[in-house]
Amino acid sequence: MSIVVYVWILLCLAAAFVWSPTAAHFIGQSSRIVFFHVPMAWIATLAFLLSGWHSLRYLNTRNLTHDRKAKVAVRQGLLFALLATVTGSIFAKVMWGAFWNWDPREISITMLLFIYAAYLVLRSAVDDPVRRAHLAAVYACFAFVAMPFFVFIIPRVYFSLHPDTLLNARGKIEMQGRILATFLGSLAGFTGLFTLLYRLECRLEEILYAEGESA
Amino acid sequence: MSDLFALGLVNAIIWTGLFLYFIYLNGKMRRLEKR
Repeated sequence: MSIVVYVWILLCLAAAFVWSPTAAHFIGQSSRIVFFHVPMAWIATLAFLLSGWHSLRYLNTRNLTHDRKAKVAVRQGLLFALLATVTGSIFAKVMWGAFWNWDPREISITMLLFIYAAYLVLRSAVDDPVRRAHLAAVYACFAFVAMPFFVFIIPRVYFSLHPDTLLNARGKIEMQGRILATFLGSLAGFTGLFTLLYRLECRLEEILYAEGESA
Repeated sequence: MSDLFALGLVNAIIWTGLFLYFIYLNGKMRRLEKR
């Protein structure tokens, strides 16, 4: 599976830089960032949803495997959210003239970074594995409820400089054919890459747990 | 900042970040599996 993902991502990269045209109303080549920045944000959202799901599963089953899976999802979600923030900030410098503009989307992703970083801090503060798993799972459930507001609602309620999402406010997809194809391909490629990374780190956590090193 | 430089920078940051993370995970996994 990994070879397929790598080849797919290479094809997406070629399409992003060569095959796809640039979009109208953007400065120069800056619109091509959509093929990289948006998948980062999508994967972060997916990872945070996954952490909420595994936390709920842990609370239902009390199986520590779900606790470890939730932890891995948060860790990787933070990585992708950080990459989305940094790349978005570079785009902001080109399009809006400053790295940071206090745009609702910038603020909401920063809030998410803080919320999920606090999850890891909370985990590191508790030594007993069962107590840690309980507290972390409850915290992740609260974060799971708050997360959709930050990702989907707040940026749509307030005026934002951020370009339209794939499905815009009018309920339409207004991307040009090649741009849309490359964008969807890139989303699929990065989702595949996340699946690889996630499974790899979950296996790693299981081995660490078996060796008595998991935290 | 020019648009091309920004695009290059965006890609450099993403791929460096992911590559380092992947190397870190693979290396740790290999060490553990050898034990």
